Amino acid sequence: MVSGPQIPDNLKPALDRLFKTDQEAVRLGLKYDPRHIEFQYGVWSVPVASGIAPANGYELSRAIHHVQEVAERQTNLPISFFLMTQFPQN
Amino acid sequence: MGESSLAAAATLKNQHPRSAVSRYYYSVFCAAHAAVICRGQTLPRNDAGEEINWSHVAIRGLVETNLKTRHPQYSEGVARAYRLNLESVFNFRLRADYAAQPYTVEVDVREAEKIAVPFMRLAKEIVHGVGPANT
Repeated sequence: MVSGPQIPDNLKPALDRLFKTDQEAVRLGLKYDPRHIEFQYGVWSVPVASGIAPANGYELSRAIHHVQEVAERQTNLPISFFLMTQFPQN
Repeated sequence: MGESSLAAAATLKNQHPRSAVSRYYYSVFCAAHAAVICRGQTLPRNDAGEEINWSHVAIRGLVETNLKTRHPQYSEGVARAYRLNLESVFNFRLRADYAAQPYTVEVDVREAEKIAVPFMRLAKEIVHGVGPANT
């Protein structure tokens, strides 16, 4: 579900590319759920899940922040990833 | 409530580390609310007109915006660092509360404490109008 403004054209392609190619994202099995990207309080909020169950939150957060910063640089958009409790089904 | 949660986290961290992580997050969530409210933000309301908490995403953004716009001694980078720290503790908490399989939660406890304690100090300075909040 998307609320607020339309998702910018460059956001999903950048996320698709990053989540497939970034070493940290690949190593920790990070995936994002494009169905639940929302614009909240000035930031594009993107749900992220990890397929690597034993990773702790610290390791995941470092990776998530790394990918988030790369995504922000590449898209010039304010982006906030947050860890999901459930792995996306798609 | 935030200080109580912080104290509870310290009590729990050795025997019940997952619960401690959860309490660390709740302490910063409360502290962030207190700090933001003290700087003039009004709590959102539900359909019945009752005051409710900001969402986990919203409160992080409000903290960053508040520090950037009202406390010029905090650079944009520092304000962003606080937001990222709040995001981190939230992520730790999700792992602590919901991860089905074992993981090295001790790392998260240590990192959550490193974030929560100074954040509580910052929030108290803002709430009590001393230090950074005076400028």
